[in-house]
Amino acid sequence: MKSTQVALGVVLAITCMIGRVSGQAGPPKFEELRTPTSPAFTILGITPAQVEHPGTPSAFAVSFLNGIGAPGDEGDNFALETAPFWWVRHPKLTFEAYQNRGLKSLYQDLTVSFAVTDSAPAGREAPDGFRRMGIGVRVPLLTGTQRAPACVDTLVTRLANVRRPATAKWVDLINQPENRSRISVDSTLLDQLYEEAVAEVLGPDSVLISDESVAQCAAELRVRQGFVLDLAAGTGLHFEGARAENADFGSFGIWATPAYLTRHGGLAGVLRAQWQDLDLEESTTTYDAGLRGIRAMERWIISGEAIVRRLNGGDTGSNLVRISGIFDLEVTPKTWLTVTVGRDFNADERQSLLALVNFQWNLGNTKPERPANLIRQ
Amino acid sequence: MPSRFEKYTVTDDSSIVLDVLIGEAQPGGTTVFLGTNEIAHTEPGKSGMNVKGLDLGKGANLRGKLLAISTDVLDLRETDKASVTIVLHDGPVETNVTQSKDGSPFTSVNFLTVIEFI
Repeated sequence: MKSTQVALGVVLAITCMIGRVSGQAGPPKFEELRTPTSPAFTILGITPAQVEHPGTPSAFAVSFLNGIGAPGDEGDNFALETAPFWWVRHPKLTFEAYQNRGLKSLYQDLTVSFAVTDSAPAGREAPDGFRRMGIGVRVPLLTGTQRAPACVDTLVTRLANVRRPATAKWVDLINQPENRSRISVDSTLLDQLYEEAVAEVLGPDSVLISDESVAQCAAELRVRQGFVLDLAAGTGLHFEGARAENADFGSFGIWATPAYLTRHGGLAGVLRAQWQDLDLEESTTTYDAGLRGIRAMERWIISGEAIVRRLNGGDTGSNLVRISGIFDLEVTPKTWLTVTVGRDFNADERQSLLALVNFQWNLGNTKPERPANLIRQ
Repeated sequence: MPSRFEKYTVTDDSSIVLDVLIGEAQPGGTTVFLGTNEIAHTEPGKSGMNVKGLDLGKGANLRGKLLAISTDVLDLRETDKASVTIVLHDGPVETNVTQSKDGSPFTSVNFLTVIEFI
């Protein structure tokens, strides 16, 4: 522990010194270029506080019509994300079949996002009645391997083992002559008898498995490994005077995130092309290509990102580079040290190397969730 | 919990075969009783989560008995849907009994199905 504390002191001293030398705003955000979960929100540059998730066609229609509002009305910002495949029931789609869905993910996992905002794009002023609408789709082209985590079998087995004696008691009850003659005419009797059996065998307030353990297992189930490829596209429309006849394309973007993910991290490429201000004479186009990597262990996490950007605006073009890295270390069981270093696209190239490289450090009490930033899981 | 009672007409010489499918891509398990005897239960990692091709016997031997099926479904998907489908095969004839429940994210749902053979 003593050597760890000394090392911590040295790291803090160095990072404080370098932090004062640089005097810049801070390293770039690591996760900025991942394939967006909801392209419609990203293309509009908004982060909605509330997102609706309609689960049926009728719910989607109501949400959509409420969100888009009548032309000319003052409307609040609105955001919606939905997976159309799950609008209808799939009573014969088994757990195993879905885990091994392969290219069926093209339609089974496709999500659509939609957003409306009255805010202006960054750097522009919005006239009265200005409204923007974003529409996006996201599809995992390759889903990698989604092995069922051990918790699935554990929870199912635990549930069955605990419930089986109560079920056996219930079967005894429904086969008793006085009940058997009634179950075909009394639709509530099956439930009543089961509740009686559970109360007798397991106790009146029995909790078979906790909701927390199910939620935690659900999170584990979403983890992907192996080769994955996520694609997304989104477009933004402008409505002067919030009227449909004044619609104009404002922006368009496409994203691709090919990656190889392992249990302890992975390597991901990031590809993005985005066109902004398409309704103006001088629009801008941004092309990004980069690589990101993460290694996450029990007591430390190291992650890095390098991105090359081609920026075209009007008759000019420029090439920019961004590099960032994060190192997280568990100093004590309840303390994590995070050191970040980075050079953003807009760093001043006339300054010294130290001034170009920006260090920051932070202490937190929870383990950072860096792998979740590599690609949406 | 969702429950359902159905009557199923059998023919004397036909073998009745049972499938129990947990849908909506959710995991779960099933226990099957014929009369008061447990005749099958699923075991994750071994027999799988679904009952497939369980031979219940000839119709003549089933008539008058109750088939009781208890199915637990874990809602682990973001879809927030759970369902179970009981499929009875009487030769080429297939009868489906489906129960479903929405709106219980990250919980377990117990489906009870009772079929009386007549």
